[in-house]
Amino acid sequence: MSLPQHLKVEAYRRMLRIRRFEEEGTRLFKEGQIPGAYHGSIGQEAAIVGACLALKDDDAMTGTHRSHGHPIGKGADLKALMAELMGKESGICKGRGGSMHLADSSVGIISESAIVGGGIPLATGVGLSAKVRRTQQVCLCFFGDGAVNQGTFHESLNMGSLWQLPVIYFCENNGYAIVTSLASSHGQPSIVARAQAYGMPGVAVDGQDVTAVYDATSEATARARRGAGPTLIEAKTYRYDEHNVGLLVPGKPYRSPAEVEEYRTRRDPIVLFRQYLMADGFTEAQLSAVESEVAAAVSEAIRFAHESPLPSPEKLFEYMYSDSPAVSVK
Amino acid sequence: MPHEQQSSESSSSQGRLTREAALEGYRRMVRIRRFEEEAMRRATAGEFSGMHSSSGQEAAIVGACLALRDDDYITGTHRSHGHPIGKGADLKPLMAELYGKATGICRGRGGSMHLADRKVGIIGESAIVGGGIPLATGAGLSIQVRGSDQVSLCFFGDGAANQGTFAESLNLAAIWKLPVIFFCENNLYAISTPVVKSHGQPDVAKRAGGFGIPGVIVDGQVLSEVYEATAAAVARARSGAGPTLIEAKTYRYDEHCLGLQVPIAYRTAEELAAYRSQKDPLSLHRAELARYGVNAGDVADIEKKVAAEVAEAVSVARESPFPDPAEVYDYLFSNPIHYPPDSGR
Repeated sequence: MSLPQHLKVEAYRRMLRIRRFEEEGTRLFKEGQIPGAYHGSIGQEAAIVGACLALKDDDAMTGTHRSHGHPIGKGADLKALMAELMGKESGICKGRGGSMHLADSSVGIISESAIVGGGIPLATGVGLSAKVRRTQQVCLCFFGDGAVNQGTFHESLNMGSLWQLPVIYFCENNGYAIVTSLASSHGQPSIVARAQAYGMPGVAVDGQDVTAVYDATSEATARARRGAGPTLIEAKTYRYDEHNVGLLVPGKPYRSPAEVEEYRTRRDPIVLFRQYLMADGFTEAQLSAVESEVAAAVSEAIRFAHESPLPSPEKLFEYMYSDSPAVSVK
Repeated sequence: MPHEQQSSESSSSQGRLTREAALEGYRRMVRIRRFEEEAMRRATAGEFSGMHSSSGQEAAIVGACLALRDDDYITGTHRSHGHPIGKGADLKPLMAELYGKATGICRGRGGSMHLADRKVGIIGESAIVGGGIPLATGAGLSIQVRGSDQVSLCFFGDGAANQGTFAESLNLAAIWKLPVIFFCENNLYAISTPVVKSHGQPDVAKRAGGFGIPGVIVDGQVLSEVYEATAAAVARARSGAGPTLIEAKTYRYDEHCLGLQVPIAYRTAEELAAYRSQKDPLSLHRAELARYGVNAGDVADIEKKVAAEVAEAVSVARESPFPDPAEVYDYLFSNPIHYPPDSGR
């Protein structure tokens, strides 16, 4: 366990911020207050936060369709994220992006995109940029088990390895690409086994254990910063909710209720880490204070989002091009 | 030489090729070499435009094709004159295709990069790098769905191994246990880009592990080694056990394509000379033939017959007519469109 003392409470705080943000977001979505689709990160908090805590503030990240947790894990303010979910002008993308584009550049997120596997070449490009500019930045690239079967994964990991780019390819393997299990979509079940094809290290880690994820990512980050190239990390994790809120999956169940229950009751990353912190000497009062603080921050974010205006229709064509074309909205 | 490899096993493995197959293998390699040499001369003389020569890669091509049945499928690449010849095609329609003649295998519409002779099982040749890999995978799926015991063999180069289609296809074939042989002719250079400058690690076959399928490296200059590895992969595919990735370490003698002037020294004259003098697939196999008891007269006889065959192919190609301009829109669609609309056709 190498998670430094000063990051322990922060790890708990960030995981809890994701959990409460997602719980409230899910509720608001079901109430019709959030348009579009909603892909929650509940269950995957340790994978996200363990990885993000290993980064410096100026390191870059790319996200996916399931990326509310990524900016929160990197330390983003909740207000602009919640406002974006509601499509408000005060949102992090001015309400133009919505749920799948919580790209908070103030915490280093260069892109979130619903195109499966689309972030992998972008992160590789960021790595190339960091190398060319000789900065000490690294880029952490989040993607899921489904994205691993996209050609972009193959092309990007080869280039990342060839040019020894400072990229951490971080797979949140939650076992299912929507409803397609890993076993029915991968030639063999180990994602890290693909790393050797490109001559880079592959590290599998318990994605429900925030300290294990932190350790693995810290090592990969150190390796990247000293110019030794990329690492592929596979965090074995689990999503509690359906692929997206409200998705009805017809036919034979693709996973058993017992499996979900097992994760919720025995493998919950927040429960496990809270137990660890108590055993480590933290007091109930200390942790309760964090919990209250997080609940207040989420409530404040919702209030902020509700009170913010929707974008003005006259500004529909803004933010599309650096030089906006002169188009008027009638 | 950059491909550091041992061919010491080849002497113990020759028993696997029968004398007849070893002779046929030599005949096919000579047919490819003479076809390519003559085509290079004719193209240089301006009789038709460009080509990508397979000279130097004959053992990889023929060793793989000899392990197939006539009804097995193959897909080719931009460098695919050798593939139909290796599978046993008639040379005349191939040469005529290079000339763009109506008697060509694609009726003169395809040219050098489309010598797709369906009679020998070629379902497609395409200059799109990595484009044939999903096609061969689809052919494998078709075989599986139809319950046939054919296999599909997919030729591609080291450059194509870095295309996304490679990873996507190998994964699908692995999950569904498709009867596909992914056959990489690693000739070390994607045009002028060396493998060491474009691959995270230099062995294409090592990528097989990521998909849970066998990956086999063979000396692509030794016909018997290529044949044995492919025969094992074919047997595995026919038994329903799924695909294999084979990497044949080989070498191309000519530039990437005819007339290409590469302004950078991406390979040395010494390297090329070393392959020609020490690793020539025809020379190496002639030495093996002697151990089969094949005498110099038999070899000379093959050479003579092939020379006549190539000369005849050139003669047919030259004498054949070009396609009729009125038929320019034919063969585009199974239900042809008529253009211009008043063409009456």
